[in-house]
Amino acid sequence: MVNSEGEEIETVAREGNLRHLTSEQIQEFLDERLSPEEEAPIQEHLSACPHCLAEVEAWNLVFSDLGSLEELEPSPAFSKEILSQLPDPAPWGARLRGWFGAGAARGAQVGHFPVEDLQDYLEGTVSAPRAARVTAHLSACEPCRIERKGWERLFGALTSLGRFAPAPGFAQRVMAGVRIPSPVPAPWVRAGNRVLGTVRGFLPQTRRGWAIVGGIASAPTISMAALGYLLFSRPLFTVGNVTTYLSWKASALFSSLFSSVASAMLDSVALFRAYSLLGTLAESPLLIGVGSLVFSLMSAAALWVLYRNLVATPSAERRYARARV
Amino acid sequence: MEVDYTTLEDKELAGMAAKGREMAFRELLSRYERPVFSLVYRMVRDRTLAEDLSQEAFIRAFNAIKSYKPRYKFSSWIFKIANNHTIDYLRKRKLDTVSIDGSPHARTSEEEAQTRLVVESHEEAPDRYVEAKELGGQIEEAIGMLRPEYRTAVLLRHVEGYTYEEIAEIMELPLGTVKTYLHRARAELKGLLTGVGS
Repeated sequence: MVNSEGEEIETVAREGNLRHLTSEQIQEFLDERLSPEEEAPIQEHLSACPHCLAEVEAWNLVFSDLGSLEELEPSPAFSKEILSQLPDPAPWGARLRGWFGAGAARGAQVGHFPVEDLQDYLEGTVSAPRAARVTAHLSACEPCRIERKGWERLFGALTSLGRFAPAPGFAQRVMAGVRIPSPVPAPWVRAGNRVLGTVRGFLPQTRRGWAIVGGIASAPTISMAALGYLLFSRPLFTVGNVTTYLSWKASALFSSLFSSVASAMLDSVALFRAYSLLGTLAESPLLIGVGSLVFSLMSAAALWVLYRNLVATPSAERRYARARV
Repeated sequence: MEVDYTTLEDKELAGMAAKGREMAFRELLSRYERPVFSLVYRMVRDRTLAEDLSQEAFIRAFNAIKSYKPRYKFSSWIFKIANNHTIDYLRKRKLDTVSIDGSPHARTSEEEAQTRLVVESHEEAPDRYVEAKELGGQIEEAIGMLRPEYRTAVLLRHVEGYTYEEIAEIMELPLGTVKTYLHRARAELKGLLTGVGS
């Protein structure tokens, strides 16, 4: 069984928020020694409990009084001794300003909160204990409430500031000056570019290199051309005769060197067909024509490279274009 | 597949812009042309000049989009470029419509007054009527009388809603200096507005 007093205590304990704060809690709170987790319920309680808020204000005055305790005055000899060791004493004007400034600062501590605190309070950027102290002070100080209204008007005016739009066509003017980066190519294009880059690495990088390559490529071409001219300038050396002769000699050489392999191949139907096809192709004038064409094109390309690098001089424009690329 | 650029975040848009997507540039521009222009306009108080400076700031930023680091807010980055560009301009040209007050590091009001520099305008601005209409309010005029650094801090805080830390990052200043700037700027504004009202 619980008595009536016990029931009351239990009710207060159940409704924890209604129980008033202890003086220790208030002091720790004002001294900003609580963690945010510990501060939160106290802050919540203060917002709903005028009694505790008044307690906070009372303790706040104690804190303010402690902060405004006058400094003890040292003996004149002490100050003189210190000042005499300073290298360059400040001018009298600056010293007076310093004294007045310090006096004003002390006055601010003794009386009202500094305007910086009030600004931060209105912006919501002060810590919860500090905010509670300012709230408590404001509830008891009429001049500070008037001061607060002035600051609130300023904050309201600043918040009402809008944005301006630039003149039409602004975006177009900006975009006209923007260099759009080249789009990133697809993966397969990048892979192709890498292969091409590797191939380019093997190619000559200078005119001299190209001349050497062109010379090497064209030397056998010129030799072959000279040989062809010598052979085909004779009356019996026609294309048909030479082709027949070469195919006969090739088949004879093939059968003499690889007779055993050839016999095995002849036993195989597929290989036999392939061999027959090769034979047909070897005797085909079309194949000979295509081969000659490819050979001629390659020779022409090699000669062109030789000409470009040894005879013709690239124009300034082409050099510039190459450098730009 | 068609990309809806309006739904993308700034960082995504910046990434796409760096890859050459023109529409990403345009979307970023549409998002920040008004905030950036408003800041610069209130700094120089000249519409034509503000458009030129904003335009140059955007072009400078967009042409260097590959140097943007996504760990920072894009808005902070673009404001930093625009603010630096404007402050550089004001310092170089000693803009005649701006009152350049004393050193921000002055410890007392007397020191600040001693280092104060006010150069008055003798030129007729072409958009004077529009500017007078737009910047003619009491609070706008009071802001116009602040030193440029104070003005930037106040505008970033109260018009754009940036935190102190973000303002410190944009202005490349220590956090304590930003707080000091804001306190002093608001105290000056309050004094100016009280003077106007009385």
